[in-house]
Amino acid sequence: MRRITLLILALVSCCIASATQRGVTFEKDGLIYTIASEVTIRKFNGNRAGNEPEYIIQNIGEVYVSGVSVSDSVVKIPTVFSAPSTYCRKDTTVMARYFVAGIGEKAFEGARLKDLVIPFGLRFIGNGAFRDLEITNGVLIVPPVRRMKADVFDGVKAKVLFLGLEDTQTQPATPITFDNTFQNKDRLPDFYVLHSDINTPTEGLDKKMFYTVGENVVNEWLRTSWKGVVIYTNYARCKSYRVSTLTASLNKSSFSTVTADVPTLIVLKKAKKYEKTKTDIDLLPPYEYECRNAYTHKREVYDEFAMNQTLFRGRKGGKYHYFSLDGKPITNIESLLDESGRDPFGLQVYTKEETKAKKANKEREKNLNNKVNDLKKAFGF
Amino acid sequence: MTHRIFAIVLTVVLQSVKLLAHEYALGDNFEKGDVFEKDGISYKVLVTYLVVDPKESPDTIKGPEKFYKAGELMVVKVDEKLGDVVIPPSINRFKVIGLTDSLFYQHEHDRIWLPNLLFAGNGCFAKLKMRSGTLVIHDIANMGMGVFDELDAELLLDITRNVNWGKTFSKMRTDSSLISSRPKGLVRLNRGSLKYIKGCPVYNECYSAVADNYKKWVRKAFGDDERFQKNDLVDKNGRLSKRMYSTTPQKAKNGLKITANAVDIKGLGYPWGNLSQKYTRQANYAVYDKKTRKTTYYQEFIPVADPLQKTGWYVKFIGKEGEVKYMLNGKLIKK
Repeated sequence: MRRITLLILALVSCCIASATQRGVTFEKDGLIYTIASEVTIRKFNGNRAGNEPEYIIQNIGEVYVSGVSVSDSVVKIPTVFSAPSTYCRKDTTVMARYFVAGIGEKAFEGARLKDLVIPFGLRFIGNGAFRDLEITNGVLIVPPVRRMKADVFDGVKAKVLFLGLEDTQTQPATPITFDNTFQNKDRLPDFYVLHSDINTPTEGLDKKMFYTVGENVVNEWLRTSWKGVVIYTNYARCKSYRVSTLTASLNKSSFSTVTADVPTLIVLKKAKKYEKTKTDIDLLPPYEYECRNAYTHKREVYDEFAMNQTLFRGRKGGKYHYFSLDGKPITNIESLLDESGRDPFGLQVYTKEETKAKKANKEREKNLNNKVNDLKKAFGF
Repeated sequence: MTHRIFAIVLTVVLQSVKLLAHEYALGDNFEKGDVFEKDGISYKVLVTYLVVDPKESPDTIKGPEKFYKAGELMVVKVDEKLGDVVIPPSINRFKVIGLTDSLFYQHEHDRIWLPNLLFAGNGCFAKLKMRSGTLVIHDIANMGMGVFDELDAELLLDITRNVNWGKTFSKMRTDSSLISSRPKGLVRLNRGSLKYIKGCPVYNECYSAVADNYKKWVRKAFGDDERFQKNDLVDKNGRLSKRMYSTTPQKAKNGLKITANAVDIKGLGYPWGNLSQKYTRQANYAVYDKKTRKTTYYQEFIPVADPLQKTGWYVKFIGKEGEVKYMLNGKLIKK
């Protein structure tokens, strides 16, 4: 019976060990977010005068808006925000920086808001994201989003103003891809774009349905619609607005585990193959870590990575591997665990009972060895 | 029985001739400067010139009696009590080319239909209130100052060509400085026409649409009334005259081509000021000699029946050079 219990506990701990933050949802400031990826990086924190260079270990991630929990109020979708991270941490006070990458399927379906502020730089808006959304201020302002999926604006009760028909975050600017966004013609609201934007080449889009408006009209809508929210009030400024994204902040995505001359280098890459769970998550791949170990001279790819000031951990094929910062493998894992069987990153490796049993075994083994040694000494071996 | 049928047919024919005669007669006797009223709208004759019937060829014109007086009109007054104001493109052979200063100032009408025009005077639609909510403007080549000042309606610019906007959206203060002057409502237009208002201050404040969305605006402006759907009402009397006349058959190598037109008189037209008082136009005949291929311009044209000439009649022009006479084959008649 005890063995069966231990087996079940082992299976549960295995499940916990396999879980990532991908797909986890949480709520903040009236919006519900879903995590698409979360990573740990070691980052240079500025060189304090006369001292050793200082590094911090930071959790960052990508999320998309998957719902709204308030109504009749102004909701602002941030570009980036901080929230408690549980990724590879037992301490929930550790914060992570999350970049908002898109708006998920039916995120605002049937909602009634005073206003909705959408940031620049989003990569997608999911199917039916604004279906039957009511904006009481009268105008829904949509900055350029790289991909808009089906039926996004069906039944929206407000004018919809596009602040451009191409993504100006890329060089050169790329036209927005519309995937059957305007197919239900009977249910569409009035769409507006700036006079100068109507000539933007957009493949397969019937631009006859768009109204165009002058810049002063747009500025007026920006001022009145987003009143009280610290946001763009001038279209010209909007056009030159640049956002920071996870991809941008991972441009220099390699870091070393120590500052020694021959460091173990970690390179962060977008995962080539990844599980497909939800349509929106498909648009946002998770990341994987390539570890060039200077100690073992091996190159390993981990789908999960964590590190602290003394060691790092990588997951490969569902198994966790521990190393000291210079890349030396740690085989005696039990020495890393605390009393509850968790590793320094909060991962439940063994259950409490297992840990106790293992410790007792070790103690017994130690005692036994001591006794054997004593006997050997007594008999003169 | 046969007599009765004959009598009916004769009556119908006579009635038609009478109607046609009336149509020809109305307006033919107007002189430059005359003001007349029709359907609550008053017109001033700006200029007259001679034209011929489109069916007439040089072979059928045997004398001066085949020439008709045509000309241009300016609308000088509109009855304030009119609900729908329909300004026709022409009255018989007289074309409506413009609207005087402050024509609709402080008026209130249900709907206004305007033809394509050459000009609209200062403050022409200022403080006008449209009960339909929208004023539709077709092509007006030249605009005065503060034309839409405080227009109490939306403005639909149904334009298809370049407009000389000048100070259309400005007005003068008492200290002679200019301030912005716009309609109270939105300015809307066809997307294709945006290029014609690029340099105009309303460019940054207007709305444009195309296809069905634009048609909706036009329909709404006229209260979904089918009579007002077309931008240009067909000029029913346009066929009654043609401005160009050749004294010899088209293919003949000699003779004259006479084209009647009208031009502004410098100092008496726009740029703007005292439009209703002084503005007038002058006839201008372009006379092209087929043989010498030269064009000369004259201000007056008088076809003269002269039994002494071989052809029975000749043409006389008055211009800067004084009086000049030509035979129909283009030969100059020396005094």
